[in-house]
This record gives sequence, structure tokens and C-alpha cells, in this order.
Amino acid sequence: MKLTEKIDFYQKPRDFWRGLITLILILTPLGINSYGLSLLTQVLIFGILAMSLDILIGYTGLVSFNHATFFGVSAYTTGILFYCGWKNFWLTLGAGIAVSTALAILLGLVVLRSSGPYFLMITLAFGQMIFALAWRWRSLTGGDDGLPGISRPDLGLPVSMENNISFYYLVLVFFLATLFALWKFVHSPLGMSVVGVRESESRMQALGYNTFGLKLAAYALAAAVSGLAGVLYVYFTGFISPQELNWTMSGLIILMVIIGGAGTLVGPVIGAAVILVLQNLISSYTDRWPLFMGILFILCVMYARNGILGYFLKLFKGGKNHEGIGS
Amino acid sequence: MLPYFREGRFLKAGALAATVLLAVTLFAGCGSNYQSNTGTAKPVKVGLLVPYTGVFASCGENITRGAELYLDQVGWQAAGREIRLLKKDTEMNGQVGLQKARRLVESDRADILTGIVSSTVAYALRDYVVSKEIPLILANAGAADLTREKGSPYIFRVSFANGQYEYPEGIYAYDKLNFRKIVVMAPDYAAGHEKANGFMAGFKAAGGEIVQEIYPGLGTSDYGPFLTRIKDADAVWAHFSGNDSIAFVKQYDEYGLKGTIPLLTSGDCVDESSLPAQGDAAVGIISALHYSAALDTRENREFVSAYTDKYGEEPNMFAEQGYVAAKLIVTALEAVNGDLTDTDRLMSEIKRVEFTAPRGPFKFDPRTQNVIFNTYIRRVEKKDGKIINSVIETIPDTSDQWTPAR
Amino acid sequence: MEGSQLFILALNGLSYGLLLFLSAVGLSLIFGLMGVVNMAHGSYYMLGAYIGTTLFQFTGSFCLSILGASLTVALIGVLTEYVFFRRFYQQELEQVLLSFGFAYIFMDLSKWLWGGFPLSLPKPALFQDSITILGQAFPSYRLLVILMGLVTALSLWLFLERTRTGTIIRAGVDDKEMVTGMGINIKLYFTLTFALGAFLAAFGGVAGGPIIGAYQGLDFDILALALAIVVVGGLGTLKGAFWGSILIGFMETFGKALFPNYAIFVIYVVMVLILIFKPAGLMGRGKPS
Repeated sequence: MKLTEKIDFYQKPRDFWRGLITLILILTPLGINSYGLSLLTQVLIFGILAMSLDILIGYTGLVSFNHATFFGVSAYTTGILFYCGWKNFWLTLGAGIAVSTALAILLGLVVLRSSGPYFLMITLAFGQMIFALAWRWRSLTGGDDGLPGISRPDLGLPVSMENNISFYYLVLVFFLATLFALWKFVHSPLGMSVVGVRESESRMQALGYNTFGLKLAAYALAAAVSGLAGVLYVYFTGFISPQELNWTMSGLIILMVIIGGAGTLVGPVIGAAVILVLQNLISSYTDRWPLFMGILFILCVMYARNGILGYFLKLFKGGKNHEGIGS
Repeated sequence: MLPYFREGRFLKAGALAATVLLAVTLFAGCGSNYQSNTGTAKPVKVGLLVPYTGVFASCGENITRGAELYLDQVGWQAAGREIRLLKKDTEMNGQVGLQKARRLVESDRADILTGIVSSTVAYALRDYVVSKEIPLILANAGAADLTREKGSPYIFRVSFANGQYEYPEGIYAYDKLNFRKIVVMAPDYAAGHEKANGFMAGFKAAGGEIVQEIYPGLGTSDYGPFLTRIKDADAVWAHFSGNDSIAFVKQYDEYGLKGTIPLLTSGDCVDESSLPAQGDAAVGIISALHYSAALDTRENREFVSAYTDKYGEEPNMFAEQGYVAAKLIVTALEAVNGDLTDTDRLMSEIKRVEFTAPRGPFKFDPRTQNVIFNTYIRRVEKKDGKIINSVIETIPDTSDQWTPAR
Repeated sequence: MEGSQLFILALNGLSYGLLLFLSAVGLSLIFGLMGVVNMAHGSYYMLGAYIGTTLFQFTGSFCLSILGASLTVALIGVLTEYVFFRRFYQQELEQVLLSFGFAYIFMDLSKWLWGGFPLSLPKPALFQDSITILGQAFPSYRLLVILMGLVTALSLWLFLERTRTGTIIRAGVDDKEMVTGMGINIKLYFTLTFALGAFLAAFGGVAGGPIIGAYQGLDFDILALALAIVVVGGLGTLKGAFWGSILIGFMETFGKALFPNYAIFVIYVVMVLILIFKPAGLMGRGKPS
């Protein structure tokens, strides 16, 4: 275990791969119909969300069961501000991220005192409480009807975001920026220390680290990034309802991370793509989507514990990795 | 730890990720995007968006059955064009509904959308269908605003606006049943409040007094604690639906209220699909609705017998709404001769449709594009061992305008 | 509020709490012994309610329905434990995720088999009517539920305290290594606990059938309540599950009666307060980790 392992991101062959991915994603809108484009936009937004949860599950070892809370609270902040007349994208983006980060710090002070299954249950309880609040506080949130009719934001640029292609590029820019920033984070000394907490909290304490502070930092970061996803999502669909805060949503994000491969950052993006696309494909042929999802979940836990990404990498590399998820 | 970040694996993984991501997206996006361009005989695609999973799955199922029954009767065609029904599950979730609507409109090229059980889903879809200029025929979602301030030339409603039949019920309760003080109970969500407000407005306008309002959480299974707190009143008016209505009606009896305070309800609360489970506890309840399976008209007898033959059970309000939505679409398609190129013309024809439905006369209020119907006051009775909603009074031409604008 | 109303509410809270106890106790024991938060535990309750209703339609006997449904679901519990969970011994996260997958599967299968219509189980013939207590009507069937709950709790207590199997299960909750070290095949007891938990949950599902019914979404409604009970009462003990259930049952009931429009928050607020000030639960031992 080399915590200080450094990887040179700018080495030449990798520049090629990185450029290729980016190029493909940039050119995609030219060769895809409008439905495919909206699906891809959604995949990128959920990709951001799943990556943010991976910071907690894969790197910090915290299986949080209320990740939808931060996503939804930020989306609601944007929606409510829109209803108050805020049309500027950057202001609502800042507000959305600020509110979800602040909430994470407050919640984190309580929930991070526990770990393992207790952490899972206490986050679930808080998540459902905030879900109930969104449902009940009708004057602010619109109750179960949600907040409809939120139009695309004004970026202060000459491009209209009403156009789905330009909105896709906006999401793409944020997606790539998030991928880069989170990748930098997990390889920074701070990120390495967070992984150290996952591996052995007591050892890190013995080494003089403030492990609670490290966990809180990771928790706040994850919430901030999911806040970003929330803002993009509400502008994308133009609508927010309490369902986005419900535990089913949190479960779906966990599924994306696990299926894609926890602790890999890009894996959860694949997970998001696979789930969203499967959901679309399967549900147009049959109503048995939950059954498929359950089976997929079980198969993943049993045969691809490092997710789809881990499974393929094992095939390529003859794999030596037999670690469990987040263990 | 972090096995994927050694050497160049991260970027190879990234490339793999992007490839998988694109492959699946392209597959999904283009997979069903074939269009045959063989002249005018192209089928008309009607997207049916209802919940097939979750608490309201049965409503979705009933709407689908009603619509399919009518399409069966006309041989799945109108004006010489085949009609295809594309069924999608909204899961009672706005975002899911919106996602499915996108798929229907942008990938499957649906011409008309219908269904929609939940108002949340209706609100989520509202701006989208308007911007895509796709007619949306609501076959249940009752949020009154959908045909008021949030109304649009593209949105029609064949079912009801919340409060539309509750308002005349309130007047009936005062004038004909001579109730003066009433306790109101409804589930604590938007539709529950809207329906309760409709009843209360009617009852108060007639001169009555509401002595207590109780709003239990949606999905409550134990009403005992609420029922023990009910105040002395001439009657209780309640709206609950689905499983909640079964639990409520049974417990109203069990806690000894049935014998002491008469129960008035919305029609949803004593729906034909809930009556068998409610059993004798429901007998005597007076309710209001735009439909009853026991309605004695030629159109309804034919509808009930055809439906019962096909599905082995009696239709309820949802089945009738699905049937009416399908009949509306077919009638409008005939009126434009199957030509869907001019959406404005299609919409003006939809607006003009009038026919005698199982529920009685069907037409739209041209100002709101919300339905005008007869409100039936029904009493739950046991006839030949079967529990039915007998119609005891007909209030003709009920429009949403009954409810004062707030 | 009058005394008679209070008394009726208390009876109501007791019957509701004991019903919840049946589903929570299995969840608690399975967690205590194996460290699994079984997300499919609410599904056992729901399957019990559905299977019980179907059995009643065929046999017309409440007793046969409740026994048949509980045994069937116990068998399902054993199978899932034996085929799936056993492979992930001491891998708690994998087990939670696995149970999550099963919850989805059971949810969809029950929709497939029983459709979307809510079903309601008739009461046993002897308990159809209401009786009058202090001038207030109260359904006699709820008194039967109270009786069933108390008898079950007592038998469970006797089983865990007075039998060798029970002692081993309790010891396993406290210290697995010790039990294994004594040469006892602890996996056998895992299977047994799973069977017992599933049996009790399904028993609760049928017993609650005439009150709550069987409907889509029941599984997670029950799971949420059972998790709340386990968190409030403390994990892994019979006592914690029992008093947690009674507490939650009373709070729901009195919350609904006193502040009907805010009842939904009562449980969450209590749960959060307990987690903050007594993270191991009211009856829990030691610090959770």
C-alpha cells in the first residue's frame, strides 16, 4: 500500500486516450437523435452524481444512504430561487452548491460519529426526514406536486440554453471539470489521507491525523459535487419533486456506484450509463424493470464485486484484485 | 487500494467507459428510431403514460383496459389508419414520467399522449408537451390548475378537476340531506386538500359549517387514532383512495362510528374495485362521482357487459376514463380524416368532440378544455349479494367553474 | 382528552406496536447475530400478507393461512440465506446490497403474482365485531393482535433464555469468535435465525392483514418502521425490539390523535434525537461501531 504513489497525468500515450474520449463526447451531438442526446445528458449528470458518491463509498468507506438528499436540496434551492426570480445561472449554481455543502457539514457533525451499518441507518433516517419535510412544507416546496416549469438558465453568454445541444455542452464541460477535479483530489495528499481512513481509521489517528475532519471534508466535497449535479438536473428537466429526495433515489445512485465499480471514479459513470440505458430499454419492452434491477444487483455483488469496470480490467490484466466493495 | 490508478489504467478505463457509454446510448437512442415512409398508411401512435408499478398500479391497469376495450371495438383504426398504443410506466414519479414522455415523443414519434394518473406527473410533463406541441389528453390527473392557470391549448382533460364533483356534493349535503355541521377528512397531499376544499366550498356556500378538518398522511393504514378524535357532527365527509380507502371505511365501522355519524365520501373512496374488500362496512355510504358502474343507461350497460366479458370484473371510474380518452382520440382522428400534419386543426376538432359516454353526455368546456359531466350522487347498497353504487340523484352539466377561483 | 379516549388510544398503540414488534424482532436478531441490515425484511412481511390472503381464499381458515404463510416465507428466508448470504460471511456491505437486490425482486414478483390491487384479509369468524370498552367501540380483533403479540414475545423470551439453541444465539450476538471457538457450527444458527426472523415477519404480515392489508409498497413502509424501532430500541436484543416497538406504536398512535397533521415527523424526530444522544439505542449495549 503506497499512499503517496504519484501518477503523471500528462504522460504522452494517455494524452492520446484522454483527447479521444473528449473528442468523442464533443462530436456526439452531431450523430445522435434528440432522444439519445437527452439520455446522454442525463447520463453525464448522473455520472457527476455517482462520482460524488464514489468519493464516500469507494474512497472514504462510508456507505451513505441519503445521497439523494444533497442532490435534491440543491435542486430545490435552484427551483425556489427561480420562482423568486433568480434567472442567472452562476448565482443559482453557487447557491445550490452552498446550501447542499452547508447541510452536509451540519449533518456530518452528527452522522459521521457512527460508522458501518449504523452510519447507513442514520443517514437513511435523516434522508427520509428531509424527504418528509419537502413533502410537507407546501408553501416552499409545492408539496408532492413539486416545482414545475423551471426554464433553462441564462449564462450571460450569447448562446441560448433552451437549445438541447448547447445545454449538453454545458453539462459536458462540468462533467469533464468534475472528473478532472475529483481525480486530482483522490491523488492529492488530502485524498490519500481519506483513503487511509478507509483502510484503517485507528492507524491514521495514531499517525496524528484528524480523521473526523478528513471524513467531514470528504462528506462536504461529495455533497458539493452532488449539489452541482442537482442544479444541472433541475435545469435539464425543468421540474423537481420530493421523489428526487426519496431513499429509492439514493438506492439508485448506490446501485450505479456498485455496478460500475466503487473506488474507481470512472466506474460509477459507466454504472450510471448502464442503469439509465437499461432502464430505458427494458421498460419499453416489459414492466418487469425492478425484477431486472434486483437480479442485476445480486449478480454484481456475487460475480463482479468490483463492478463492471473492475470485471473488465481483471480480464485485461489477469486481475489480482479480490477486495470486496469498499473494504 | 486503488488498483485502477496504477500506470495507465485510469485512462484506458476511461476510454473503455466512454466507448461503453456511447455504444449503449447510441443503441438506445437510435434503436427504435426506424420510420417507414410508405405513404399515408403510417400508424397513428398514441403514447399511454400511466403507473404500472407502485401504489396506483391498479389505476394504470384500469385505464389501459378501458382504452384497449374501445380500440378493440373499433378494430384499432381510425380514418383508415392503424392506431398503435405505446404503453409506458410512469412509476408515479414526475421525472420518470417526463423521461418516458421524451422517449415517446422524440424516439418513438408518438402523435398524441394520454393517460397520466398523478398530478405530479402531469405538472412535470406540462411544459414539455406544450413546447413540443403534442396534444395531451389527461385521463385522470385532477389538479384543478392544469386546466386553469397552467392550462394550455395542448392540454385536455376527460376525467375531472379535483373538487368538480365534490362541490355539488357539498350543496347536496346541505340542501337534500339536511346536514349542518360536518367533519372533513382527507389524505395530506395536494389532491386530498383540493378535493376537501371543493366539498367545503360547496357546503359552506349552501350555509353549512365545517367543525373539524383532519388530514392523515397519505398511505396511512391505521385510522383508529384519528377516528377516536372525531367531534360531534351531523356527518363526516372523507376522501381516501386505493388501499387507504379500504382501511378507512372498515375502521370507520369498527370504531363504532358507522352507526352514529353518517359517512359521506368522494366517489373514489367507494370505487368499484375497493367495494369487495370493504364489504358490508361500506353499505349506506353516500358519495359523488361522474360515474357509477350501476348507472342504468344503454351506453353504460353495453360498456359494463363488454368490459366484464373481456376482463372478468366490473369497470370502475378509471376504466371508464380510459375508454372515454380512447373514444375521444378516435373521434377526433375521424374528424380530421387521419391527417395529423395540422396540429391546430386536430386540437380544434378534439375540443369540439361530443358523444354519449358510459357516464352520460361527454363534452369539453371550451374555456378550460376540462370536461363537463353529470355528477351522480350514489348510495352504496347490497343487491342480490353484490355491493354496488346505486345512483340516487343526477346533477347535470357540472363544470369546474363550480369551484370559485382562488 | 377524556380517560376513555386515552384508554382506547393506548390499546390501539399497544396493538399497533406489537404488530410492528413481529417484524422488527427478526430484523434485530439477524443484525445482532450476523451484522446484516436485511433490507428485504419488509418484503417478508409483505409476502406473508399476500400469501396469507391467497391461502385464506382457498382454505377459508385463518389459522391455516397464518401458519402456511409463515412457514412458506420462513422457507424463502432459509433458501436466500443458504444460497446467497452464506457466501458473504462477515462481509456486511455485500450482504446489505444483496438484501437490497432481493427487496427489489420480491417487490416485483408480488406485483406480478398479485397485481396492483390492494387486498384485504378477512378477520377470523370469532373476532368480526367490535366490543364496547368504557363506552367506546373497539375492534375485538385488535385485542387478539395484542394477545398474539404478547404470546409471541413471551415464547421468544423463553426460547432465547431457556433453551440451548437460544443461549447459543444470544452468545453469538455478543461474541461470535467465542461461540465458534467452542466448536459450534455458527452458520447453522445463522440459517435458523433467518428462518425465525422471516417466519415472525410473515406471521406479523398475516396478523396485520385484516388491519393493514396487503398492497404494493407495504414492504418498505414496514421496513422503515422496523429500522426505526431497531435504532430506537437498540440492535440485537429481544428487549430492545420489544420496548422499541411499543414506544414507536404509542408515538404513532398518540401523534396521530394529538397533532394529526404533523404525525409523520414524530418518529423521525425521536429517531434522530436518540441517534444523537444515545447512539446505541435505549436498550443497546456499548458503543456502535
